[in-house]
Amino acid sequence: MSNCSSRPQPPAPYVPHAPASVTTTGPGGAGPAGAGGAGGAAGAGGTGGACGASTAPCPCATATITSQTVSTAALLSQTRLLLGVGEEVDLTYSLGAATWNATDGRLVSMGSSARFTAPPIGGGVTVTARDSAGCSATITFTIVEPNAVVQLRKPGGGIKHTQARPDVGIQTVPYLMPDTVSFYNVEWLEDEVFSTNTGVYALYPNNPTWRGHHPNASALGCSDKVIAGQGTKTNAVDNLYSGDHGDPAPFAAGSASWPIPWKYQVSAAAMGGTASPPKQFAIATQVVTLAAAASGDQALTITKAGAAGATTVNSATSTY
Amino acid sequence: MSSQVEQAGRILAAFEKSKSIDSFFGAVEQMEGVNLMGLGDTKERLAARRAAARMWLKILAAIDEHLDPKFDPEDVPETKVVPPPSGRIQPPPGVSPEAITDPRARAEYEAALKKNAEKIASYNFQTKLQRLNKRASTSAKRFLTTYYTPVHADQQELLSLLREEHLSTVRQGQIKALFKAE
Repeated sequence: MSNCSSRPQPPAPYVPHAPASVTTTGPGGAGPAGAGGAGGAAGAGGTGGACGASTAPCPCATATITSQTVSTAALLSQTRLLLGVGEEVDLTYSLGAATWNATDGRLVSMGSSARFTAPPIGGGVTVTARDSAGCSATITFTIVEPNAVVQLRKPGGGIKHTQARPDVGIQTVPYLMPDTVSFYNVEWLEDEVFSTNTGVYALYPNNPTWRGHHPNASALGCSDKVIAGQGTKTNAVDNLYSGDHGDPAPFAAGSASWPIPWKYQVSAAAMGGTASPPKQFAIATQVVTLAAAASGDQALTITKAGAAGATTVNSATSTY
Repeated sequence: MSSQVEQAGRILAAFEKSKSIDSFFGAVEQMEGVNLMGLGDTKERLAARRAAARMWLKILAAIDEHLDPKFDPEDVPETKVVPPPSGRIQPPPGVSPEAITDPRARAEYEAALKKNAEKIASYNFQTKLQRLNKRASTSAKRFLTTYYTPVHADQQELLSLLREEHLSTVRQGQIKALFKAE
């Protein structure tokens, strides 16, 4: 969007070596601080003239902001206006040096360009560039928070199990949805929660060791890999495991279920020094199930956020 | 302008002590905001340009010093560690070491916890440093190609700064290449 009212031609952008790709309009600007005296006038004078009453085209009519995301995730367009929380985008004002403002988030102004960092909370944000001639342009982004966790089995991973025991475990890789943005500046934490246990798992003592979930103490990060249907790949492997309290057979069919709260924060690096306050965005439920005996064996399953592993009590001992 | 360069210098000095990668980003942000256009006096502009270029090179040198060439982004840390079994009992991942009664198993578990915590810290540091490197390299290039020209005097000043700041051969080559005729 650009405004256009009666005003003179905007000043020229700062062009040190006048590269061919840069179009200059308006009066010449200051040259670079060339030690060898190579600095000099930056752009030729433009057509000038006031807008409005004149038949000459108003320069403000061409004022635009173009954007390019820092994320180079192959799935996503770099000119998209949908950004993940904490995502960065490089902005360029078409008429040269400008003063930049944003209704939220962070901006680093570099004259005719700026880097915008999306805020840690979802919503709409408008960025405005205004030059000294009064021309301006705006661009509006929609900021998206993580809204779900998807977990996939770690490629090549096995099943953790001890023969003749009711234990089962898998390794997974978590992803943050949606898959329309990148969450590379997002860090995540799981929160503590106690399990609900039945059957053999009800024999687990009702204390934090056996009923707790023991979440990661340090925030873990995300990559810039975005996969369709899965979202942003996190930088971690999640070890899921039932534990084994050592109770003797026979094992009563039952389950243990942990509804685990997931929280995100935007990293301190993206926030300018202090990470944003953690915000819960999803519940990823981990469930271990021991089925009733059938044909002399009992099925064991473990699931979390779409990932699943299965074995039986009598299966050979194996590991992740 | 000088306040931005000085602030970047303070942040860089703090990073060298604390190794806090999150704060290091602030030094690059300060330098990205440097604008010499408002400086009318040639002598002042030249001094400011030299100071800003030197600070960019210091930042790049610090990045190079801390980048781990052996870092493998696919070797990710674990959310929590699986403790060793104690007899027939196998506690779940992430339990407090105090929950493990066997002293040897507990010591083994505590060592594994420490190793994973260090891996998380190192992984976070290196991934952020790589992002910072990409950003700082682009912004430093923008600064140098904006305020320096291929003429002899400019290049002599740059060469002098490159030598004084002890940049790696690779980094020096990248910067010199900015001014080579295509």
